[in-house]
Amino acid sequence: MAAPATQQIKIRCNDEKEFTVDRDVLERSVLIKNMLEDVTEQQDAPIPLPNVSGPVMAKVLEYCTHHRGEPLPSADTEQSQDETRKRTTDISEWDQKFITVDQEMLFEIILAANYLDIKSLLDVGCKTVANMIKGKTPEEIRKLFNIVNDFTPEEEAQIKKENEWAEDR
Amino acid sequence: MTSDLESESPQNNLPEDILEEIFSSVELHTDLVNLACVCRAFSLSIIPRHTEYRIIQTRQPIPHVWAHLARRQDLARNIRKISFSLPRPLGKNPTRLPNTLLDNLLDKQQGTRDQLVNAQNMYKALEYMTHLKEFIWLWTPEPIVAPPYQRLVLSALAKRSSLERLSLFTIHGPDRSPHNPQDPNLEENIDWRLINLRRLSLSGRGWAHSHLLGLFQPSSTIQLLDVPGDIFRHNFLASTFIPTLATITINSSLIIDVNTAISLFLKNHPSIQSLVWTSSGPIVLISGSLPNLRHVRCCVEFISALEDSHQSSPSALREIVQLDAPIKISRLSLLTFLDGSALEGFRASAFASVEELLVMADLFPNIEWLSLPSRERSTSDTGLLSEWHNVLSNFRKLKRFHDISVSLGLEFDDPKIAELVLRLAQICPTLETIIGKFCHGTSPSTIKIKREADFNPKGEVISQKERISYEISDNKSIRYLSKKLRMVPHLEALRLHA
Repeated sequence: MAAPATQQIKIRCNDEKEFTVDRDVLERSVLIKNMLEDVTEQQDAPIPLPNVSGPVMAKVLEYCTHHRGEPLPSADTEQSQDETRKRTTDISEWDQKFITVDQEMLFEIILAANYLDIKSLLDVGCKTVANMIKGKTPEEIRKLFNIVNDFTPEEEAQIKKENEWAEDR
Repeated sequence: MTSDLESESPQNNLPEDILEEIFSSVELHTDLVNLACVCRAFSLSIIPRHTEYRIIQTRQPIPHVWAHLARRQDLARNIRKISFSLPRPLGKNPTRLPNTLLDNLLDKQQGTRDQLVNAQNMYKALEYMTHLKEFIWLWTPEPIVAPPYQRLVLSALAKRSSLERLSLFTIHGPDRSPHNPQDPNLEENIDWRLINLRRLSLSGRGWAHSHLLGLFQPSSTIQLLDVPGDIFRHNFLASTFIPTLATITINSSLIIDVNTAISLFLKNHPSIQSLVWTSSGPIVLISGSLPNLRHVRCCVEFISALEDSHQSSPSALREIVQLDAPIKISRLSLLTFLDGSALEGFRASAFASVEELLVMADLFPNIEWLSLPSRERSTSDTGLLSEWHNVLSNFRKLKRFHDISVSLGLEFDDPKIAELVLRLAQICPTLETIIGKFCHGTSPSTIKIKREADFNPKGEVISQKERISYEISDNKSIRYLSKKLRMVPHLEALRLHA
């Protein structure tokens, strides 16, 4: 259903924080886009988003506003969305700046992107975490993810030995 | 994911599908292994689902692997590089193939020698590889896909917009099979959509017009092009323009009939900075061609072409930085098109006397690397050491010296070579690397020179005299040089490291 670009939609986060946003910005989220398409009559009540907090939603909206108007990945296959993205492997300069946040916020943004179904934001988040992992030792990664080591040193050494490669390229 | 990840911190609560996305974004094998060592849950998710699905490297056709990947989109999507390439020495190019998750029935038996099924599996698997950056097919003993179906595979690669590097080899001409059920539009152009392609190498003689046309568009992002000279048979290439082209390699032994097309192509691409020309046929450069050329590896004929084009418009000198051509040092000094102050590296094919080197040092004062072959007439005069001392001290910016053993024309076990090698660091204050063969039966060794000043505890330099030590790439050469050093007592203090 085509809608005028100026239509404003209200959303409410889990901390009662409300935002009023242009419809095309919100439609970067496939979840919200589908919800809006399902509703035929104009509603004044805000859309509840019980899995996202106000501060995280503010960041997500900043992302959606910057990328408004860009083609959305189509739902069917990965190939078609691959073609809509210029660089599949790098993070653009703006996105990089945008995603330079503390680690807790980064994980919250990833969770929100997953819930709201914003594939490109999920990609940026996951690539950023992958970049943080780059060159780190298992112990450093444990600290990053706050994970307790359940391997004995012998088991860890065994994994390394079995999966050793001389070079990566 | 299991309870291992469920604790108080928000980052541990990442659901399994998000962790999978994060693992998929990790490119390097070493990072994947480190990640797998974090905990059992990570290990179970990563090995082998990720560790076996980043690089495929083999020299054989792999129908069973294609059958496997065509069936498993979840695994195929993580492949970054596929390489069918020539064996390299020293085991540096080991075979890497998915193995653990291959199904005996579904993959190993499905991956039959039926060439059409194999090509269809390849097509499907390549469609799934949304992160594929490199597809390299150099020469292999058997074609990786049967010639009648090569176009099918090319059309799958054409859609792989993540590709940054593509190397393709074909020995057969365009698809001429009388009946190809998969490919009713044989003569139609392939619709290449490689918007991220940086490096393109084509080899073999079978390239069809319809295969290539779309690869050479003005919207192309190709920076490095490596093609056979034959490819310029396709007329459209003469007028093609690739705005980003910086490096070109043209391979062939005889490309006389396409010279005009190549000349036009080079004229159309002033952005080219680096050129490799392996053909030995004559070539004419159009006046004003290749104004930004900096690095050249070529035959004598190409040097002549550069000379001729300079004579027709002698205004600007060429600022060639590296020159690798089979010309004598005596000829290098006569090349009028060269800006002497620009040249930083030169590989010579022959030289007759050290006097030539002295002239060269004078004409090209900024030489940083020098590769010298053996002298035309070898001498073993006793004044050799002081002669070389004199010559090399004139190359005031020399950083890299190749093949010292050969250029000296000395026997390997002559202690003079050891002495000179170890004195070079003092003779040439900027020298960083010496490459040479110091013992029988070894490949050339690399000697890295380390210079340290003496510091006091406050970090101030207390002596102007540097401490010099050597890092030598192989133990045999270390033993040899150490032994020889004992014959040269005043050099004993120099330190050798592996």
